Amino acid sequence: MDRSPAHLTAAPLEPAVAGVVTAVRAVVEGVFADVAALRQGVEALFERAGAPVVRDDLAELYPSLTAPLRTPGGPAKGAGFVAAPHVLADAPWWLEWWIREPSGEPSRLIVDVDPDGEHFYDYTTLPWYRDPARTGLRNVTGPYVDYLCTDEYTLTFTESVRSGGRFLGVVGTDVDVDRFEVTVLPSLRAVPGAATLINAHGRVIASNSPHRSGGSLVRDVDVAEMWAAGDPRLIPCGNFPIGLLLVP
Amino acid sequence: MRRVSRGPRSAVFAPLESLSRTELVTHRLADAIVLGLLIHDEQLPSETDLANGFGVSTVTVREALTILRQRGLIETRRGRGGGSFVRSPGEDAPGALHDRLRDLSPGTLRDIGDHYAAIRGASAALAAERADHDDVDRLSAAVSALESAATPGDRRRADGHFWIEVAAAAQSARLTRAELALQTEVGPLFWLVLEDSSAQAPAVSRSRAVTAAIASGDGTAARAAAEDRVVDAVKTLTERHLELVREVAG
Repeated sequence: MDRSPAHLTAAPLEPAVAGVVTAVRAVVEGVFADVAALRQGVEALFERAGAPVVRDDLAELYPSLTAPLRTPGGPAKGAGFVAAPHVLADAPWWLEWWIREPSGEPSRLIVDVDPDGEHFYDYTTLPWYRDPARTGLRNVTGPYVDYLCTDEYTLTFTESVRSGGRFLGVVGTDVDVDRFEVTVLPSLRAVPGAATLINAHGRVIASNSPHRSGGSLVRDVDVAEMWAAGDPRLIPCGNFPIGLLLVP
Repeated sequence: MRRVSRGPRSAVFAPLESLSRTELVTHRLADAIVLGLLIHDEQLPSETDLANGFGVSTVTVREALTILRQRGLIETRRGRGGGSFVRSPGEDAPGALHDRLRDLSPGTLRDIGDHYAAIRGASAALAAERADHDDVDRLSAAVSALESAATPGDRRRADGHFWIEVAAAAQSARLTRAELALQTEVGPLFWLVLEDSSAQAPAVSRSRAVTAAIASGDGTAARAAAEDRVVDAVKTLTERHLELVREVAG
């Protein structure tokens, strides 16, 4: 996403619009703070380890991994570390991903990590893994149907992890789209005109207009061009790819 | 007893369940074995646990296990460490599915096909509206996997994956779950079509047509192409069913 000086010199935002940006930043920065803690934990683990890191070593990530899931009223419903292929000595493919059970207790997600298995999917091709791996930037995937994990409608916030120049995989957190929508909707409704939160690809996350339904793509304006040009009708909400589109 | 008259009203009074509980349990376990969800030599839970899990009586479970034993899908060992163990049919897997196909009526096949067509047609049409470049790339990758699949198992995996991608590209968690449920329930039966390698090329070209329509945002064409694949499959399965019945009769 472009961070051209145009945004820095732009006129002050309308209070209602600024309210949306503040509300979105508050949720997303909180989520990314959890992701950063997890990243530091993984980095420390690999930097300290003299011997090759194995699956069982990941147990020490457990506190930082489950903390977001235990936060009462917190947005996270899943969190974890997804290892790059062959980074762990005893598991060529591995997702150390934990989800919040209805009981409130975290439990580890069991997925098929056998490449010959019936339900194996190559996660390195999926956007929540591939995009941060490629760019090194904070990534927002979704809304999308998370058929690999929970079959739920999800936003995934991810970051890549590196140690000594070596790419280790990605860390991240899942948030329910419904939950995110409900959290930011009051601020969106306070905007007098059309206001729609979109991701980097122009996919609608939440909107105050019934014409922009969640999950649909904005096609009537060129979102890629607006991002690139720093169009003032598309306001970045922070240092992550979510923007507020002020086009009816 | 008064007979219900024919006509539209008769459907209201048709039998609620075309399969007995024993058959349902048998199919569920047989599919799991055929799909490899239950692996060779794995011990099944006790009859009581299975009955609780399925919400049926232990008598029903016992009947189902007997049928599975006769089909060679499980074996029962007595004594210490005894119980029911999975016999993976390996390359003989279609045998169990052929039995099931033979036992179905063409009407039931048609009904399963209608359900598939509804889920897949709607998914494809919505995907055409909502899929972005990434989604289209994943659909194309799934079609390529179907094209390069070398064994029936690979073809089955690739095909199942393709349809899950279509439903996910529709941005619908409910349609995706419906697709997954259908694959678990009757997927193995539909995949009998792909057992024969001559079915691979037509399936690939149909899937490619679905992908192309989604990529160009043409919902009507995407729906039609998705439904065509289901129609093809139902036709092939009905022909097979009739052959199987004829073999038994003759």
